[in-house]
Amino acid sequence: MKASHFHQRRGLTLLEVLLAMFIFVVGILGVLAALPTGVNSATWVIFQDAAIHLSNSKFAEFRRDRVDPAVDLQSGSAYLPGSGSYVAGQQEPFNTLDGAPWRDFASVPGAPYQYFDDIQRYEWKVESELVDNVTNPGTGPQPQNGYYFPVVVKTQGKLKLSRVSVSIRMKTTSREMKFTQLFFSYGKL
Amino acid sequence: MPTAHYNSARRGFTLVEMMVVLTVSLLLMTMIAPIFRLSTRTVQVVERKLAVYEAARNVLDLIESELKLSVANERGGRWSLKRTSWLDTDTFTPVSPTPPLTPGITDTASLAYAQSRRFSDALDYVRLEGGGAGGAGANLYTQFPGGKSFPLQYPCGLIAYPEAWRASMRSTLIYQHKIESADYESDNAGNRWNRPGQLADVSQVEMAFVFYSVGDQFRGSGGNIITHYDAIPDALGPGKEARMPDYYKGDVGDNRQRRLGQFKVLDLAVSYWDDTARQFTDVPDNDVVYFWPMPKAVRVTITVCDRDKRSTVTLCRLIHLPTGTGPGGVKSDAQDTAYYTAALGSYTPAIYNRTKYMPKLPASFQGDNSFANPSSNDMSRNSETTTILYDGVKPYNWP
Repeated sequence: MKASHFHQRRGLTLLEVLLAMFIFVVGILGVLAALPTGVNSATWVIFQDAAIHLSNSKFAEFRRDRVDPAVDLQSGSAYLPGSGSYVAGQQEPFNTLDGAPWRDFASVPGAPYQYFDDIQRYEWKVESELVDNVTNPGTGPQPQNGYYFPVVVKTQGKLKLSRVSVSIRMKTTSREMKFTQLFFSYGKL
Repeated sequence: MPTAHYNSARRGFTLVEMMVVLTVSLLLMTMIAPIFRLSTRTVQVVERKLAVYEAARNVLDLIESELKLSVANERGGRWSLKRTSWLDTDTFTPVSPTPPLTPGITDTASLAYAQSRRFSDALDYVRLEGGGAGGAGANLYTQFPGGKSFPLQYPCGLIAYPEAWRASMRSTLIYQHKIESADYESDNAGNRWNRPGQLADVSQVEMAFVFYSVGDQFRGSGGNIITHYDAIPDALGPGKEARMPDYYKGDVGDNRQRRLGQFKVLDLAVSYWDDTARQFTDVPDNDVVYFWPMPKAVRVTITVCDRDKRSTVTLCRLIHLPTGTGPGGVKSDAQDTAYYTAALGSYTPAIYNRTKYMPKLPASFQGDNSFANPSSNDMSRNSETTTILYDGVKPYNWP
């Protein structure tokens, strides 16, 4: 009688306990798996912050140096060399990690980005294209409808309004942000 | 019977079963615990880093938008950079590297901000912004075209012809604040954290913008212009920068001065662009340089920590100065010891782009005649003057 009763209301078997523990562990691992997502999100925001600093600084360099985007921001120009070592006052050459069109930020002693934490993690590229005027369409992008645009002086050809984009990328990742500003070419002062 | 029923029908695990389960559990927990600890720590570290990055971006965004408005008046009135640095006593900051990184030595390891030296610069400039002509009240609402909304723009309610603000971006290590006693984080005497207090707790070092209205350029009555305040060395001249306003009022009621403050930054360093050397250059410690024309760009470097001092970040931003056309070079072959060229008289502009060692500047240029009435003119105060010039800006000296 005792044995029979025992079989009717027995406790958990080892297998059942192990199964329950397995489910418990899967749950714990699920929670742990969510943590990297939060870390990734925070890291992405940190990258965005850094990219804003760095892109603003690059645009400031271009404006400081009164670049003509159609000339100076073409890869291989004296201002934007494709190879060689960094020269103060010029832009950085292509880097060795990813190569063209990516460039490191100059951070050697005395260089503009010496004091920017983790600057070695970031790289940048620049793209420039002339924005054609309405009456002289070309291959470049057209101004948006209703976009304020200067009156065209036909004898002078294009006004050399350029759309300049600076992209910042975190090396060895797909994280990349692109910033765009419009530049007039008003020559060196 | 009840006992027998209990023991037989609902028996527990055997000792062996329990030991197996406990062993397996222990093994699993041993494996999971480090992962959990590491993950949690990683999240904390990243969140702290995120907090300081966000703070740094907010501060640098504001600095950039503000400095782009900076101008120098037509006679070369002040656009100046001051550099001071201090040795903090906070154990939070890393100790000095070996060998010591003394000012002027090339920082080959880029450790300038990762040590106990705190950069505390001041950039003084003129900011064109006013309400234009009109009645007192109307000026509150007719802001300078392209200007910003309050509090980033400060309306001149009582001044008929507001023209500009003497503005200053500075660290509270170089100019300490005296504010209203009810203000946040001031002591019973209404004093801000003093310099030793800030150096002992670097999370309290601040950056602030101070604006002091240039106000009515055409002072006089009945339309008779008797004073033109653009004239050097009056309101906008070198040495007349708004150094330490007598007091601050946090409301719109006082129209002469404003402050945006409480930006917690450990370091505020401003380098000017030397167009000849093609690089950003620092003003020597304890020196001031009046630039004319303004340099084309500056580099602002800040270090930010969170309030609990768990994380820091040092970031820089290059800022183009739209009206800056100067080559930026500083004549370092000879120092000036005066704000003005004494031999030519006090109404002769200073020799620009020349370093002036602040502790050695003569007492005759203690902010106009503000000794007699510190609440007027350039709003200098004896205490400030004493701190900055007579006792000297404490030079940073490595031990």
